[in-house]
Amino acid sequence: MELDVVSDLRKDYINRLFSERKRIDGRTPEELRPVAVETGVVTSACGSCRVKWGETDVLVGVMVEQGTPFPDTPDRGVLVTNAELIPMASPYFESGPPRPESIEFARVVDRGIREAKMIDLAKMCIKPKEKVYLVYVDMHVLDFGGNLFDAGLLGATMALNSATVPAKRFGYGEDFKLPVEHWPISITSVKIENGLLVDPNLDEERVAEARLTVTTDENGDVRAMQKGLVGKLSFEDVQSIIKTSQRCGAELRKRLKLGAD
Amino acid sequence: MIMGGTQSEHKLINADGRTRYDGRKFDELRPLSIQAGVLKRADGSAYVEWGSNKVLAAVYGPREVHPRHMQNSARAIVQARYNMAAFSVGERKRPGPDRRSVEISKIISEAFTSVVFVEQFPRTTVDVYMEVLQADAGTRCAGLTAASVALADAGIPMRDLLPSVASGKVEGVVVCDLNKDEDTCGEADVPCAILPRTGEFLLLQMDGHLTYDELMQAMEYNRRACKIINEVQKEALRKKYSIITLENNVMKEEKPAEGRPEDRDQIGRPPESRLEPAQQGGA
Amino acid sequence: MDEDEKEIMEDNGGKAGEPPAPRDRGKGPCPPLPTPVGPKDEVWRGRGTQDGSCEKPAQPGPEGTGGGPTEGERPKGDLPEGQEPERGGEPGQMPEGGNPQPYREGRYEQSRRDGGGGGRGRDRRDGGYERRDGGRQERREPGRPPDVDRQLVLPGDDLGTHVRGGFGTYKDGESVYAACLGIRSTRDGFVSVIPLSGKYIPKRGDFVVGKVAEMTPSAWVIDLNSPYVAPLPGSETPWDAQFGEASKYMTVGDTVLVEIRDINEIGRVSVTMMGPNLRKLEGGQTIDVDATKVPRLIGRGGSMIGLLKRLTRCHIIVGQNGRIWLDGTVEDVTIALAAIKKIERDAHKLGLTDAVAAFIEGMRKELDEKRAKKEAGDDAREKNAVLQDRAERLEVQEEE
Repeated sequence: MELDVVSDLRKDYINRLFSERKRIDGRTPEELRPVAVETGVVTSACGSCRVKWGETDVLVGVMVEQGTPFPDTPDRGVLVTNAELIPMASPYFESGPPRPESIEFARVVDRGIREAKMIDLAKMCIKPKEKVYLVYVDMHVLDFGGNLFDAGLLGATMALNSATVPAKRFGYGEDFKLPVEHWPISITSVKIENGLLVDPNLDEERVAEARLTVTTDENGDVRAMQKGLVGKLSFEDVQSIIKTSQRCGAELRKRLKLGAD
Repeated sequence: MIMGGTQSEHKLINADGRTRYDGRKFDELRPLSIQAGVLKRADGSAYVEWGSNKVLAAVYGPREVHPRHMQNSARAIVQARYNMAAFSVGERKRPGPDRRSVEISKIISEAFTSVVFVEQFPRTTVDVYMEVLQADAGTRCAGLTAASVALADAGIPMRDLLPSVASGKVEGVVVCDLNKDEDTCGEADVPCAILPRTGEFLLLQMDGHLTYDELMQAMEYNRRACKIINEVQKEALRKKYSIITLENNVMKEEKPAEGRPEDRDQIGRPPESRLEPAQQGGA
Repeated sequence: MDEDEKEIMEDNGGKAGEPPAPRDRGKGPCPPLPTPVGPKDEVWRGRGTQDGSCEKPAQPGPEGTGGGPTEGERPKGDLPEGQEPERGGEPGQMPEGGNPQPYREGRYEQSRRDGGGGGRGRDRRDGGYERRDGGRQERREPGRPPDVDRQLVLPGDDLGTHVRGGFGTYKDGESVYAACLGIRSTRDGFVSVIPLSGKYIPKRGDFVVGKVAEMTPSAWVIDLNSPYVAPLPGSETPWDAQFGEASKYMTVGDTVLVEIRDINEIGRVSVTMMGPNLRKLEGGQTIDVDATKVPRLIGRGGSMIGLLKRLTRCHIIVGQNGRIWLDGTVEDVTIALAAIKKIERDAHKLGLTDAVAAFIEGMRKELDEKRAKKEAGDDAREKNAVLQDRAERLEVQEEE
């Protein structure tokens, strides 16, 4: 039984606040929550990053193994993205096989990395048709405070950006930095009755009608999008959200000096 | 215990016959630090760094049991779940519980069922989660140690905090608190959890080969180490819950664990790390 | 084909989950056993109960029933219109006897004070539901401060030998130990521990703010911000709800103010909405705080909650279960919510009442300044718009 019933009272309050351009946590509708990142936190991983995005806390680890390539791409490495919504992160996460939410989360982040061509998988080939590097991105959600997509992708991007391929361990020469060429960032917005809010916190996510995650690269070009929840988005909503994602994405990139060459 | 053993490339006990290869004496613990109350959503939480172990523990409860048929009308059930993150060991571990994790979860549940006053909360569950983020042998001990602190942090009534450690035998010498190499290449491993006040064992396992005397010595090392670990557990909780004393009359602000961005007290004045959106034009 | 649907062939020898390779069981010289340290400090002390089951904690004396926020002035009889049933709390510092109390009475050994007897009211098992004011008065003279040690204790800490253990403690042999993390408190010969965190466990007579979580054919199921939920049957409401029509009166998500009638040994809770001021709460907002902070939120004699209501101009109801309902203008509610969160965070600090008053004042000033700026900005924009409009008309005129 869902004990935490989102009453209409909460929805009302959020909408009333919005008409005064305010939010429960004091932000304006266009403001992101405070974001803090730290890379290299797990030394057993090839690359890692912990992201504290508002009250959401995600730890991403990158592991590089070796294996056989897929038959249809014999000379390219493999990228696998996985998400664990571990039960400690929220009273509503249960143990067990991955739920649709966790699968969608992993796939949206994966799409951002893949479509932004963050890693040139052609460079991850050891011996065509026989051996390639397998890059695993594992996102471990430690504390769920709303909006996993953005925190997850940021963690993945920064973990990959700071990862080392352990070639020595496999006997393929010296270790080398994982070659990264683009830096995707996603910014998610939600639609509530009275308007749009960027970077929803837990309460806002719960009362939202629709959600749109937009992943951009360092040039502001759009690489991936995902609409969520059952409500509808107008064309203007979509335009507005894309612009917000570009703006907030650029600012976040600047602050974190991502891809600043 | 770590999977996939390989022979270490060096001697584990030094030539001086008194120290181990990492410099520790035979009865010395690895560096250990604990922080209480590190997560927002969980009712209680703790983070342990022990040697190179990094383990996070969280507690929810007492809360309703789902599915209903699992509830016990006379008391709370304690459900511990030990899990290793995919990136926590040298080779990526496939996510999800494996048989080893299931066994460890079970014995830790049993240990806590004995310590928690479960009769106080019939028909509920106390869920204890332990995530190994980085592994360096003794992860179940680190997890249990952290979970004890998390339980106290959640306000769950217990008889005592429960410390846990694993001693063993390496190159013929009984030593305290095995690290990864020692565990992988050693001759025996004795993890345990001991109630500090009474010295009773709530978790005890052994694998390897020890004579009776060697086993007694390992258990003595465990007992002594648990006393020290217990002090670290207490210190972690005291630090989080420190109270202003009357004599000082000065508000001692305890910094939130791990430097989380503080809640804002006043509308309109964000902390430094906040992004300022473009003023004009908006989205 | 999706990447993750294909089989990934990994090249690692040892797969996760397999038992480790058997170890080299070498034999080596065995160093001598260490000499035992000190007298047998690990000898198992005899315990109170023979079967090794947990020693039930002794119960504290009549007042404060381990955990009710110590009853100060409790309203007797019907409450005047518009007043919420509240409980006084203890002075400025740590709250005395915070609710929740994990130790439910009725099951355990009750240690009674001389003449203490039925002070609690709960153990009068005359059936039916007890009025709260039945025998829960404070026993000590008003004005005398309690002996509060204010020391932080942890589970397993020794609280003394040959003392009487109260709330939050347990006995083993002759000594009393802390059972939970909290503040040690000695009063009237009982040593107890006031918990600093923990879930709300319903107690008879408590007024709580609940939410309808589910509806069954015979009752509304109320979420109490507790591990236990309570059914609210139609018979315990003033409505004559027919089967199938119940949602007309109240439905999932609604907020209610109810009283705990009883909680039995297996944690089944019954509640009622029959009573003065008990009702469905329309409109407003709820916020959940740690139930252990409720006494602090109410303050001694209601001082803190009174201050909050006055300065925020909100209608506020504090449930013993840590759930608070409030109503007011958007601005006032925002300020009230922030103030409540501050109290929860700083519950242990001295001078909190003054700090909260200053905090609210500060917020008001800031909001006023913001509003003034906005209005000035609006004025400026309006002026600009008018000027612009005039300029355009002039242009048009010129062209013509």
